Amino acid sequence: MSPLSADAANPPLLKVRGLEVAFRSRRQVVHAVRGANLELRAGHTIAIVGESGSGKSTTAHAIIGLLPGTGRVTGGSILFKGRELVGLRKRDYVALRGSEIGLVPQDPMSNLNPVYRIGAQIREALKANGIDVSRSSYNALVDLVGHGIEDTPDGRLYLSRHGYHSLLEELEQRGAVKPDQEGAFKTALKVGFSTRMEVQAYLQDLGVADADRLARMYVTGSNMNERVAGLLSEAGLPDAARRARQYPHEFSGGMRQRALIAMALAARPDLLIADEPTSALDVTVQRQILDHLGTLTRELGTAVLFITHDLGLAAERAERLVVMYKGRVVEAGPSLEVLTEPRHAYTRRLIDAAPSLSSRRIQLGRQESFASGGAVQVDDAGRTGGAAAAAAAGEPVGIAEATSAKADVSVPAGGPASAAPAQAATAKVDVSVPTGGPASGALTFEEATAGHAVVLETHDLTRRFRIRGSRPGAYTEFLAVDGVSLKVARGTTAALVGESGSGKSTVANMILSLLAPSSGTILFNGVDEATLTKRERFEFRRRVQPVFQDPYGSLDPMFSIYRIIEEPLRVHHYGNRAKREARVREVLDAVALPAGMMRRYPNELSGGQRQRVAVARALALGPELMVLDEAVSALDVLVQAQVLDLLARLQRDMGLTYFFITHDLAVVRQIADWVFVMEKGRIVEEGTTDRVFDAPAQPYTKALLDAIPGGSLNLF
Amino acid sequence: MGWYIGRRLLQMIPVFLGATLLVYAMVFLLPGDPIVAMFGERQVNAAVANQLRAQYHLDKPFIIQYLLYLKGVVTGNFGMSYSGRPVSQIVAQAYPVTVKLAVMALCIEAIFGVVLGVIAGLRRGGWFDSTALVLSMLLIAVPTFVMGFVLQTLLGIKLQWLPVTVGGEVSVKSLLMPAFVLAGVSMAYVLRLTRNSVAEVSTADYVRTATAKGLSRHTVVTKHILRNSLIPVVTFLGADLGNLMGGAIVTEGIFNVPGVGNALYQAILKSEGSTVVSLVTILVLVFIIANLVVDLLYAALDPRIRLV
Repeated sequence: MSPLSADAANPPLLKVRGLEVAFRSRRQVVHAVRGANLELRAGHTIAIVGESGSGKSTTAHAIIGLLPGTGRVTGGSILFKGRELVGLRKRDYVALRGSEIGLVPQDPMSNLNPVYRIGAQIREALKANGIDVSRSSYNALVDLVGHGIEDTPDGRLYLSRHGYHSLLEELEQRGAVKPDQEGAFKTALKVGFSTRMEVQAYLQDLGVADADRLARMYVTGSNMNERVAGLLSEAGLPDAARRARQYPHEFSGGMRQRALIAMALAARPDLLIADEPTSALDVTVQRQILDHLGTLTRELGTAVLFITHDLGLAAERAERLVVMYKGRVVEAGPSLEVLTEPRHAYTRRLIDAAPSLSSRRIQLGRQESFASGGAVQVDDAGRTGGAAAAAAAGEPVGIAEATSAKADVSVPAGGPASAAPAQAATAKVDVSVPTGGPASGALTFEEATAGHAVVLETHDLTRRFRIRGSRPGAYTEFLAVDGVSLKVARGTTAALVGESGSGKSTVANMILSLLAPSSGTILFNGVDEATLTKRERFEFRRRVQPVFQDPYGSLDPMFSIYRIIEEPLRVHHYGNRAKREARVREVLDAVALPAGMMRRYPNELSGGQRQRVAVARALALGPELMVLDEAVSALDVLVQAQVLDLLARLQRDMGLTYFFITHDLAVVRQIADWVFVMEKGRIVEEGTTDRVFDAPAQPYTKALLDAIPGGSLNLF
Repeated sequence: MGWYIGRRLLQMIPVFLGATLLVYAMVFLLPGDPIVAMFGERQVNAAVANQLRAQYHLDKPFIIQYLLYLKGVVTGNFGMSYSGRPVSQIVAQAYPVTVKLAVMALCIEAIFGVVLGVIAGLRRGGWFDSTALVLSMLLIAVPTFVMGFVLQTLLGIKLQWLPVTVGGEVSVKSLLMPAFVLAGVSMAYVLRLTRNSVAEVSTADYVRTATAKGLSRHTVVTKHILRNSLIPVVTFLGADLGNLMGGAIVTEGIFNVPGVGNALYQAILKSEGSTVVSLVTILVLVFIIANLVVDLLYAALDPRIRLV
């Protein structure tokens, strides 16, 4: 289908022209959106990409009329189905929301009202938009006219609980469904979800002669509760009828997001705004939910306006990309085109920073390469391979870094690496292959760390938690960490990867000696942490420093930056006042923050700056080992890239050892030398980063790798 | 849930013992001899004084006195006051009055505080909000007795709408003014608490999501903002009931209300140990029960709270 014919057949559902949004504070006016343009056709998906503060969410909120606080549309137009939304009366907006424009919000944790049951909150969406789920008024009409009306969005008749059971009974009597096939029946037909047409098709597949008659007899419309359960199962929630009676706090993050999707799609809007719908979720859950959302909106013909800061994710999910920077649309076009031929410098920066797109190892010419004995030089494989592949395919190479990146590639002479670019194009494998030795990945820990002493070692580390029961004294035991043995070599980065709940933060807390293990030992420089005296433990605290995930929560808002960094120095009796101040300046300089920052307070800093301060605080005492617990997960891609670069530089300059904990494999690839994969409290796989990425042995690792957004893009 | 309530009720036993012991000890340590005080200006007759001391067990060591008092309480005998009235009679007369006053005050602070607080919270930054905040600040700052005297002069003497004092005749009308004065400060707190809570919940993500679902402003306010923001207010009100009962001493004094405050004041003046302890212990139990009710209410309002 050529673009022209599509244009004619499919006029834009949403057309934003020259949109201006301003926030007025007492002293100044902040222009959050400046002349944004975008266009979305019915049934299509576009993504707005940009860092936080770029105005992408504000644009979305302007469209659905939910600008927070003092935000106002100050110019431009938003045409939805040819109707001007700027200046629309409040009452008309209420009628529009939910029924024509739906919203899937960003944070599933805070977007459900904690005091109402999930089902009640979805029922509300149906009621508010006047959705008559029983369709009783249509029944007679549908019977008269036949199938015609049934599959129009307004004419759907759903299977009721009663109809479901009667149909099952009838089919069992006839012998069409044997008692042991009930499971199959259950998965095929769902209460409040399966339409008359679907039931008929299912019956025909079963070989029932009067499928049409049966479908008409038993599918006569559902009631509100049945439909709510149907919507939840449509959003991919198993056991929906029971789940609908639960409260939000009984749901995991992924389940809550599914409930929010069910809610947003309940009234079948033509446009769905998905505002970073999965950025708060684990990668594996993220993938499932986005896949499901994609399938669902495709089936329903819903247009999706997708908002994200991850370019890889956007390109994978949307047909067209709109890149926003400082309130302006700096680039727009088909996804692949934007990705392969970015015209704007900012887009290029986003592409470089997107962890999902880069599989490079941040190198910075480290003096001692990890496993130098094996001549393994881990490099900028994805990027270079991509450029090479693009060049091979006769496409113009639009990435400026391509040439410089090429220079970094170390292709050992004589190795099979000459074929690397071709391999990279398909499998995104690494370019580097050691000379003559075994495949780079198959190195054992000892081989890989030759020349590096072991700093940290754990043996059979186990941690149990007691979970309070419903009666006094009653409890169940939960095994959070189950026999974890790991080693970390000096001057290297080890990554512990797993989904939330896999026990990785518990391991971190035990290594930091903040939590006592139930059994097992932790050796730091060969000394058992459990045997430390009070004085030795104090010294240990100096040598092992943490950096936590949330830069907003881990810095005391009442302390100035100077005091935050100086406090550990004072606690450890480091020098006099002048010496301490000099040290604070030194570490601020090390994390590339100006000394003038000292007098400021955490709330005056951006997320990235705060995380730098957290790193500076950890550095102040000159530690040997830094435990980084999801240290970059809360940051925007660009900032994330900066902090990762900083960490790599500090490691090179100071010989630091990192124990990096994350759920994001894309980040691991950029920073880690050795990877431990953790599942349900156990380490299921470990190996060099290359080996784990290129040849994962465990299905769990494979699932994690598949979940990296952008992985399916056939870019390179 | 059953376990929880049972445990909380069991906790009342040590609290009861501790509170009575503490209050008894404090009254015991008060300077002055109550028997001498009974004689007033008259000459003390040594024989009569000794007989009275034996009658009230004042000749025995402190701990025996306390245990004898406890024994009396357990067998339902709260002892006699020095004036010869049974303590149980004093309690039975004073408590209904104070409960009536406290409940009226609670209603006043709940209705005015919540309604004004919700309006202020929904229109934060507006003139109503600013006025309400300034007035509530004033209400907190002005001492209770000043407020009492002003109202007495204005409503009681100038306008003659309400009786100036309560005295012997306790009716809803006569208690209206003292109830308002008693409620004053708490009302200001309820207003501010409600206002802040509503303002905070209004900006919550789930409120925006509710709007995005297509709910009207009215439904969003009544279903999503009100219920969630009133949870902390309700718990404050519950805990405040105890405060109102115990804190009525000044108000009862100003308006001459024959309630617990007045009785307590008289008993302390006369060093009547058993009367003071009985009055205070009941107040302590009211506090504990009010707090238990608040916790149960909290669990009922917020499904995330699990009582174990």
